[in-house]
Amino acid sequence: MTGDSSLVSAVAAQTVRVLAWKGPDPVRVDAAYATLGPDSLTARGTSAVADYVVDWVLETGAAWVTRRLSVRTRGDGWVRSLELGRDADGSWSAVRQHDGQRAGRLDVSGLDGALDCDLGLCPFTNTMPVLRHDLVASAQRGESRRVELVMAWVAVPDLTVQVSPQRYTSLGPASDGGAMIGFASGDFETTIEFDRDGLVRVYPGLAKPPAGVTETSRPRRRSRSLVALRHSSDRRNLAGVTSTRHLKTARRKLIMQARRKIAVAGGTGRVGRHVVDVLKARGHDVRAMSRSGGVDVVTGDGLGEALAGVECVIDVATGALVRAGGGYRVLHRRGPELEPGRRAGRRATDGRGVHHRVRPVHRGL
Amino acid sequence: MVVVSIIGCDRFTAGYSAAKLAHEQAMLSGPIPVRILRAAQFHEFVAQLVEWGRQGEVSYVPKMRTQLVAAATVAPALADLAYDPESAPAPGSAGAPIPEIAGRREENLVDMANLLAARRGDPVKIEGVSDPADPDRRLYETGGLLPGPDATLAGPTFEEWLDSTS
Repeated sequence: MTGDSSLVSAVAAQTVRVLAWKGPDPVRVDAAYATLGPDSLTARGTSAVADYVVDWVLETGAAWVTRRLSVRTRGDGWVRSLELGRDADGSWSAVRQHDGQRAGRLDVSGLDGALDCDLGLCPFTNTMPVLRHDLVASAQRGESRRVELVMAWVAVPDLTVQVSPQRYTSLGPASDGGAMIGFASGDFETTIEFDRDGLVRVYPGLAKPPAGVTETSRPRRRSRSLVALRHSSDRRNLAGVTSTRHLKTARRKLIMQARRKIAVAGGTGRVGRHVVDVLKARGHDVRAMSRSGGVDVVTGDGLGEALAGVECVIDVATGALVRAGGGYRVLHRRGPELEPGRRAGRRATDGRGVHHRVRPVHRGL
Repeated sequence: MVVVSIIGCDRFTAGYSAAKLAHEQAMLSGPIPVRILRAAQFHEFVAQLVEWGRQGEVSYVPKMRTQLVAAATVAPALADLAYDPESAPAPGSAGAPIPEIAGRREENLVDMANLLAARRGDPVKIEGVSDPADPDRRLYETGGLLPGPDATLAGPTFEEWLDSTS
């Protein structure tokens, strides 16, 4: 019986997560099934893109140090596989087979000191360093903590292995106990959103949760729970892949990766301060517009200056409605009198002569 | 532009919700493309209602069915719309409903107000009221504020949120 109860507690310490991501490329999808232990994990997953599919199995030892990564890529008329391993002494080995030729050992002598593998374009393998260095907790506390790592990076779909110095930096909290974490490798730099379990939620330009799929029950740490996926119809997923779509998504990828000037009306408010935090953590140039900061979206005071050069406004300023009416209940009772009212319209011009018209509020409610 | 609005605002004839619908329409009538995200009531709203309704030892809060959501959960969704405009269809285009975001489960506002007071050790007595002068009172009480089937649902629940903020 004691054996049974230790088995039960070992199982109880695990969290099972079923993950799905959709990429900006209309045919890129990633999915993974992961079992997260107290200091290790196992996972298997798959990716599908236009030209090939990938499947992989990952196993770590204690402290989320990679033990084994097995990868296979397959396209029209070709298949490649890689067995990457790290033994208890820290020695890496890699055996690659491609296009029907004999399997060959790759030179991985430069990997000494690496603890993690990083499967190219896979949104799952960012998790191990984040967990080992407890970066979600740092981000939640608002600490900026930087960790330098060397990874065994697997190029996809070639399945060659390279030494990859990488840098992870905790930036700040994300929703639901998650974290915004900066990632840099060579010239590449981005901000990745992780969930409370240290799993990637949004990887700009690569992966984000597919529309209409949400985990209906979120497992708590150290409790066993199965995750069900709720699917609702997603017309866009069913839409055919056309060249126009390719162009659109390529453009969108550029937009998502660019640093943008974004103004937040009500940027110090209940929702606004969170919006400002998220945008800043994602690397955007953010202007929080508030009365305390000299910008009044009702009167228009300071608005022109605040909007100069701004590409997008996020309007979460609802306080003006409450302010003008003296409180929710008053507004509530005065409801029948409500009308759209006079709208304050202001123009601002950015450097390229683009006019932004803002019609913020229903003055005099 | 990205605008936050309220789930169900198009059903109401009065009050804050109707004002938000007017806000949506004013935005949509302008020349700049607009993406709207309708959110449920925020967790933070419960404490505000308890304060507004406080009269001595009793706080009168409206009877309301609501699928409370954390403001911090709504914020990334708004940010997504700012730089990923195609993640939401243009409002008014055929068959494109305005996206909604809400908490994972429906709550009763009076129960949540009681839970909040208990957690804070606030001795206030919560009383659910229905304002007969409000033409929309039935909507609050019969689910007019609840999300549709395609809404994004995301935690934490009000109770989890209280745990994490207290």
